[in-house]
Amino acid sequence: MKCNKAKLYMSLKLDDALSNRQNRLLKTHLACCKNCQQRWQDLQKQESLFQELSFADPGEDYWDSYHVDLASRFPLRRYVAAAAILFAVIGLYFFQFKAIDENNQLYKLAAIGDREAQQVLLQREKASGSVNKLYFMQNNRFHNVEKFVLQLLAQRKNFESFDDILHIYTYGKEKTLALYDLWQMDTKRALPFVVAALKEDKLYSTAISLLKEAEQTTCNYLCANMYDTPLMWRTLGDLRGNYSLALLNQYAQNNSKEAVIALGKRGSTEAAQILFACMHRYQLREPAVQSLQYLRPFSTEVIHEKIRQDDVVAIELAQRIFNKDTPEVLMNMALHTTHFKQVATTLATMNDHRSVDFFIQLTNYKKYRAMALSALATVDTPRTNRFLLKGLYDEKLHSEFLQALQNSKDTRIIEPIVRVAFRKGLSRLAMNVLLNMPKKEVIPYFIAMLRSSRLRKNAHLALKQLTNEDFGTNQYLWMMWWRRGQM
Amino acid sequence: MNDTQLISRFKEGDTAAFNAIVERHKKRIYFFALKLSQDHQEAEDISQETFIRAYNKLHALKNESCFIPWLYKIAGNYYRSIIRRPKLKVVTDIDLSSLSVEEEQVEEDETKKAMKRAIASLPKKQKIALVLRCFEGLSYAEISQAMNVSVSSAKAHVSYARNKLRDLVERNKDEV
Repeated sequence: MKCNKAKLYMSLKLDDALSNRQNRLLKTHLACCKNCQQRWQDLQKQESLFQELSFADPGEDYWDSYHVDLASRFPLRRYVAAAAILFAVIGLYFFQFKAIDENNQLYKLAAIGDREAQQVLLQREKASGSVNKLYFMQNNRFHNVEKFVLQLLAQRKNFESFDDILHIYTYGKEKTLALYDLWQMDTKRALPFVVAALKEDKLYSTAISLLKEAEQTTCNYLCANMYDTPLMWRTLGDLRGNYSLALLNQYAQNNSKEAVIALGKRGSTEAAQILFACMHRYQLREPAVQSLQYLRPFSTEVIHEKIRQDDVVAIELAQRIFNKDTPEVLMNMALHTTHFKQVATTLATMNDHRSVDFFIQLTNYKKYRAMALSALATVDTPRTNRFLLKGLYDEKLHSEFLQALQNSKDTRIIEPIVRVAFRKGLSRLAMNVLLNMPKKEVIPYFIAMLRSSRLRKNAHLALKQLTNEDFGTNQYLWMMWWRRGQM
Repeated sequence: MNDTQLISRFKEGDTAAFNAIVERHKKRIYFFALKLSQDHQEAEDISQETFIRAYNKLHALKNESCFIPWLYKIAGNYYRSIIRRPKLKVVTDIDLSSLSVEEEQVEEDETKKAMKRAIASLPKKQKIALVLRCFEGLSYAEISQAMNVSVSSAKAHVSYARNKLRDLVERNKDEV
């Protein structure tokens, strides 16, 4: 055994708390360790010395006044002290804790508006000299008193009266505490007051948290007494329980826009599913979209699920409600969907680099090429533009790219179209695209085309349409006219 | 009427029952505090604060048979909290309390004085454990409840305190 262990055993031996085995071990150690032997002797002496140590008794006077001193140290010691003086004067010997009860009673009465109790407390305040803390001097406000009473109520010590707390709630300042106590005391009686408290911004969150505890009763009360009021919808939206959700669903089925808006506050997948179902009703569509926008990320989850089920409403809705995963969900669905056009349009509106890559890849497939190109034509990114310009120079794909660029206003596409036109001729499609371009940009190209016998006829028609002039197919006259206009 | 009955009555709303509790335990807690602090003012403060805290928290005490360790626990915790604060000394012309202490000290022999000084210099936890075991006579199980530690920790605290006390007294002798 080591000395440290022996020290513990010595201490335990002094308390007779050693087992036989431990006793033997200690004896063995003491027999061979001089230091520990000495320590053991000292510890024994020390133990007997403890019994001889004396601590001075403060005397009978001290013990007699102990209760009064103690009472003065309670949180309300000022009042207790003042009351003690009062009771001493009138000869009441045993003050002790009854004084505290007396004071509590006074506070209770004062808090519920008893003038006499207020006066007594006021006198005591004056007597105790703490003038700056006179609670009743300033406009008869009982702020501190009511706080005190409510604390006692919270401890469920002496007061159990619903009406007392209701008085404090109605006239006092500690409304939040009082409301809480009203609810704890009698939920049924408190319900109308808690519902009324919803009208006050400061009490709204407290009231809602209390009403959540009795959701069904609250819903029934709201429907019976406040049907179709803004407060009813706001509260149903904030209750967040299953009963109120079912109720909102029922109202939404009956085409209630307010119910749809309230569902937007629910923050749950179930609410998003109900709102998504509302998308199929024309009159609810817009409020449902707004609520779904509030409900992100729950709504995006539902939309993704519906996209996977090839729901065209979800595919279209994804244009307005999407997150970073939506392009991927749409791309995964793109080759399997029966609504490729909607998927492509939605992806194009997202302007996401992944969807650009996806469309560019899709142009390799004849089946999807036209759709992918028209989708790319709506995405204005440097990468898309480069890809489209390059495609216009490709004689094989030229017409498909032109088709995709029907409504484009990008003047950079003029040159590739004209270059291909000189080689292959000016198709009706190419002419339409060029006619959509700004006149100033495109007229010089048409004048240049008059030189080619293959293009002359169409160029002349285009110039006539663009300028409302007619100089025939004479390139020189058109050039003179153009230069005059430029000067 | 025993403590358990008094506590039950207090919980039922009879505040006078608390008077009886105070009456019964005031000396026990005062002297416990005095042994820890070795100062009358502090002992008074600790004992009274203990009863105030007990009054406020008694309704939450579930095991009424552990009332005494619980009371010691309150006192010990409060003692540990007050000595962490810096002491404010009020300087008066004549410090009567210090004079009276010295008068008492003269009467005591040197060994006892050295012992008191050594107890005062023990670490807080060890001091509380020692006083509870050697002066108040609490069992290790009760000490563990009062200090909110395991029984083996309580034994260790007492052992450290006894041994440290012995070392301190020895060192003091050598210095003298």
